[in-house]
Order: sequence, then C-alpha cells, then structure tokens
Amino acid sequence: MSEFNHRFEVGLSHALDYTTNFKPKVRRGIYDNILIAQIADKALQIEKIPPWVATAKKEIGTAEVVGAKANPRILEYFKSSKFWGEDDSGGANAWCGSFTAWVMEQHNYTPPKAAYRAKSWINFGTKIKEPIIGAIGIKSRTGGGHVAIILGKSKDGKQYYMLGGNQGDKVCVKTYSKTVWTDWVVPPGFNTKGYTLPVYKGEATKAGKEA
Amino acid sequence: MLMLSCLNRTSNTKQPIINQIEIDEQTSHQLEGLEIYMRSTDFTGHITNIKINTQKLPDTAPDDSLIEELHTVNAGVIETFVGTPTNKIEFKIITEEGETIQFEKEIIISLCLSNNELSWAGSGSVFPATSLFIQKATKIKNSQPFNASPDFCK
Repeated sequence: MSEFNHRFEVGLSHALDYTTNFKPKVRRGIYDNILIAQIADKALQIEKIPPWVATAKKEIGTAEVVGAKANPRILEYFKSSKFWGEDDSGGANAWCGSFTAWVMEQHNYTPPKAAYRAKSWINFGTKIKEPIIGAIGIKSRTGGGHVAIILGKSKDGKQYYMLGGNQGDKVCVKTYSKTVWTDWVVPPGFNTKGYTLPVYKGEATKAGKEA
Repeated sequence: MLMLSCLNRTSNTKQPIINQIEIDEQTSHQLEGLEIYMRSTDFTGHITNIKINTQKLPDTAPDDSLIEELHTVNAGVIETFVGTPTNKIEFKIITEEGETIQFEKEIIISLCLSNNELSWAGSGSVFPATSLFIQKATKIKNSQPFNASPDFCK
C-alpha cells in the first residue's frame, strides 16, 4: 500500500469514527459525505510528512569509524555530495552536508554545488520563512556551520528536533535552540501547503557534537 | 576500425588531464572544490607549522546544552594564492565539544574573513599541498577575473 493510500485510509477511518460516535444526528447521504471528506482531509493534513523524512530516519545510527577506516555508508554520503574525503572522522571532514545530499538524491533532487559544505544548502530549492516538518535547516555561524532536517518542535516552541549527520559523529535526532538556525529551505518545486511543524514526540539527545 | 572504436571508448572514460597527469574522479572533484573555494573565499594559502589551541566557549544557550569549542590555529604561510600576502596567519574554527581538529604538516586552506578575523570556510576547504594542487592553485591565482560570491562567507 502506498504511503498516500495508507494516510487516506487512516484519515477516512478517523472521519468515520467521528461521524459514528460524535455526530449521530447528522443527516445521512450527501451531507455525511461532505463531512467525511472534510474530516478526512483534516486528518490527512495532520499526518502530512515529506517522503524524505522516512528515508533519513532509516539512517539513524549510522556512525563514524574511529581512525583511518571509514563507514562505507558515510562514503556513499560523500559520493552524493561529490566530496573526496576517505576518512569520516575529524572536524575537517564534517559530513552533515553529505548526509543531506544523500537523502535528497534518494528522492531525485540534485544537491547544490559543493553540497559537502553546510552553508551551500542555502542555495538549494526554495527558501521558507518558518520551518515545516522535513525542511532543511542551516546553521550559519562564523567558523563552522551545520545542516539538518527538522522533525518537530518542543511544546514551548523554543527548541527544534533536528535529524542530521555528524551529530555526535553519527546520524541522530538532537535538540537545538531554535535561535541557532538561520535559514530554511525545501526541495525545488515542493509544495508546502498543508504541512506544519508538529510537536516532536520521538526520542532525541541534546545537541553535543557536530561541525 | 575496431581499434579506433576501442580507443575512442577508452578516451571517453578518462578524467580531465592536468599537465599530462591522469587523475581519478575523487581528485577531479577535489580540484573543482579548490577552484570553488579559491573563487569564493577571502584567503587561500599554502601553510605549514600548524599549531592548534582549543578552549571551551561560554555557554550562551543553557537550555539546549550546546557546548562549543573554539580552536585557534596559528600557522606559517609559504605562499598566498588569494588575499593579502602574508607570512603567518591566525584563524578560528568553532565546533561543538569534542570534535577533533587535525591537519597534515603542510596544507592548502581557504578561509573566510570577517571583522578582520580569518575563520573556517567549511567542509572541503582543506587541500593537500602536493605539486598537482599547488599548480592548480597557481593557475587559478593567475586567471582573471575572480567572480567571488559575496554570500559565500556570510
């Protein structure tokens, strides 16, 4: 079953529950159908998640190999960004940009020029002012940047949960203060309508290492 | 006829040749990276005698436990390819706590300039100080005009 069909069925099931349990006096027939369609649409919007988020999540746990050897998967990330490095560890070979390039490439998006550099992602796709789930965040600070995919926010909205590579030398979800993220982009041609930034309910660790 | 066709196929799979040296795909990307960095940053030089001093930065956002480190790097400059010629430089790299910063004995590095301070330009801004890369850097240095991207180092 495709992701869309699955989400549609979930939405429809919510809608049917709603009409059965909470609106028993609603007239059957065309009105029911309209109501069901509206509620199904609402349910679908709540669950809307860009497809690359699942791809990125599957990579959680991919970690650097200490020393001269490298994790072959991280070398694949390097290839996606056209990065020449052979060692995945150390600050000079930070691979957050390469990881993002690999994720985008799985969904047929061409990474920006010099995608191995975090700040290059500012030139990718379309800039958006407020992040939605799956948007690519860029942390532009003097002396070192970072790039990662946003999964959600904290209840008070002050922190963001970011899924990225080279966060503590691995792919993981980490919390960051929202103020450190300077730019947000989505892939070219991606329609953000109906997407929101949900409160994150999964697991994460506090921000520690990156580059 | 067959021989000719084989020769053509072989030549199509080869990478660009610089000064008659055949290079692999990775090196080709790295040379391209050198050109991108040289044309986009404020300083590129061949440096040596690299010394790194690391210190923890004050925690400005205690709510997210983000602890950063400042690596201050001092080095001698053998040759300046881009920027004001000098014989020594100091630049800063900021990483989150625990990231190791190590360089080879001699490297080519591109750096950004902001408020009269040189700083790390990003992943891929360090290149080997081999004759191939020094030649390429010299060639780029002598080619004009430079169309530097003003946003690159922001």
